[in-house]
Amino acid sequence: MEKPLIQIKNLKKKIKGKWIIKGISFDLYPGEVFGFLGPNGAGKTTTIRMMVGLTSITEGEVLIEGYSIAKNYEKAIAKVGGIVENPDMYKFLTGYKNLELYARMSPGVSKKRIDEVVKIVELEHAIHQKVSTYSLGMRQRLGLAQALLHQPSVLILDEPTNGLDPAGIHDLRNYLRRLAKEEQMAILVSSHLLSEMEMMCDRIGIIQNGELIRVETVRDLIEKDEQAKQVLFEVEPIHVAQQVIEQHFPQKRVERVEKGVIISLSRSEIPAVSALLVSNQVQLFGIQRKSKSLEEKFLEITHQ
Amino acid sequence: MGLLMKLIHNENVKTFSRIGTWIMVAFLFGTVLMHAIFGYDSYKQSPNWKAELVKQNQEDLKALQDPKVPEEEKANKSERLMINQYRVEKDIAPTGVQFFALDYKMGGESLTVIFILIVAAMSVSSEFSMGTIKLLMIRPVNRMKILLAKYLSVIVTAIFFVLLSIGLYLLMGGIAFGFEGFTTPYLTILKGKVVEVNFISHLFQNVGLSCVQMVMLVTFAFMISTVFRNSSLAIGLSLLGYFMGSIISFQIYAAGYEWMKYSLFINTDLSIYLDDRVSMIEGLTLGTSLTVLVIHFLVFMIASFVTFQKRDIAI
Repeated sequence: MEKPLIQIKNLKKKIKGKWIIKGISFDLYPGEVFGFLGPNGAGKTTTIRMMVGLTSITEGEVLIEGYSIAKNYEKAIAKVGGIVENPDMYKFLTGYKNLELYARMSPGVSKKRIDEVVKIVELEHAIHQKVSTYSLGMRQRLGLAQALLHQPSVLILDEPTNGLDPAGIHDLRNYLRRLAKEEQMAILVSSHLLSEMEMMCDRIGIIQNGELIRVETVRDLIEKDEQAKQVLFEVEPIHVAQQVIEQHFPQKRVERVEKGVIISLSRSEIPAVSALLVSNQVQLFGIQRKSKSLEEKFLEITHQ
Repeated sequence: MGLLMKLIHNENVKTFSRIGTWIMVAFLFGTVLMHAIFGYDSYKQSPNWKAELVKQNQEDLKALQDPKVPEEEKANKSERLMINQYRVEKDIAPTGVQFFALDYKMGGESLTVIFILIVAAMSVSSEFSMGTIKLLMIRPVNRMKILLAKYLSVIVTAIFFVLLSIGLYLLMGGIAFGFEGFTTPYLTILKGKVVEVNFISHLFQNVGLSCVQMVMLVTFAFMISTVFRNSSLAIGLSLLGYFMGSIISFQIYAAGYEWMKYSLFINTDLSIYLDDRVSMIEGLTLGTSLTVLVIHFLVFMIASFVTFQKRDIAI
């Protein structure tokens, strides 16, 4: 496999005698979007702050393109574009003036590049207005613009979907996927919007109480140990269906919902159940296999 | 442009894009204007100045011989007498603009210092309160350089405000009392004799010396702002120092605490060493005062830079 762009090695943080981050390790490769998932207070933002050098590292190491963020800060951070928590900018300046400030701080960012990123995040219409007039969604986009200015190879975005409307989230998702694939960037996204992560990310790391408890591809996370899936039978009348199924499959739990019944079944059991329903004069309108969403999976994992 | 220059430019953009900065400029303008309007009668020189001065000189002479007049008042009167006699003798008319501009110290200066202290106190702490510190720091720039640029930008702003303030005094003084006073020699006493000096250079010497105190206060406010991330505390403490610092220090010294003579505010007024004069406080020389100032300056700077470099940014 290719060389990782980010290497996190046994990262730890102690604040006031308490271990907040208890040893996190993972790598990020070019072309992937990595989701950083965890309940509030799990240590996502603290980890991100250490990754971009805002706070000191108690133990362990963060390497960006091989440069240590602690020992070789300027070289390491030059490859990183980021948003940490909120994209706080100078509200009394226009969006454009804000970008100019950041452009002056990185070598080789031209006026043309500023116009380019403004176009990328579709802020052309408002870029010469003061940031104080921006909506949260516009500020997020301006935040993304400043993160992209210096053409970094790594993007670290803390809660980037915060404040975006559904269309904005859709755009961001497409845009991040494109950056990862076309520019071969490594993108780390933290979020509490789990359903978003499912569609945006290739891999997901779940953090809880300062520990990375699982790192898996999104597909694995959803598919794994899914022998039995929730199956919805749209039927009429519902109470008859429930009775019949409970008689023949006494070990199954049948759940009544508005449209019909839900039972946990493996793929091979489905024909038997539908045949049973039809032969008992139950009208069958549809059958749906529901795979667990990432959200349910996530709750399941973090509640252990 | 070098990186440091670009960073200073960034900080200047931030300072001068704030509406507050321009409100301060407007306030300064208003204050100088008020000073000129309400002080007009007292600065205005009469065409009959010679006759009036002759009369005043006679009164001063009388007062100097009067045993009831206190010594301190006598010293002032005798200096005035010397200058005024010189005026009458050499036919050098007093000019309103000179007195007005030199009274910058009584009017515009306090306001200028207050404004600069506000700018210094906001410089670092406002980045924290706005949350902008995070995006400011995740750049390929050493933290030291960012802080140095901030400090230098505050100094640039200070120079801007001082020059603006002096410029306004000269401009309005010139308009109100005539610009010819710019080239009239200024009369002062040096080593017991009246001498003629260039007015503009005398003015800037005065202003320059008062800037010593200002720079120390600015550095102090900057340090408090960086260490405590609290602009109100920085403004409050530095203003307290500006208005009360020397009075309080002198009182503590007078109460018998010898070491107070090495405190900051007893050493900020370097004008006492001008013209071969000596400090009121025994044992203080220009050398010791400069040493005290340099040590304070270094302590303030080191405290700012060390805390800024080490701090975890968790907001």
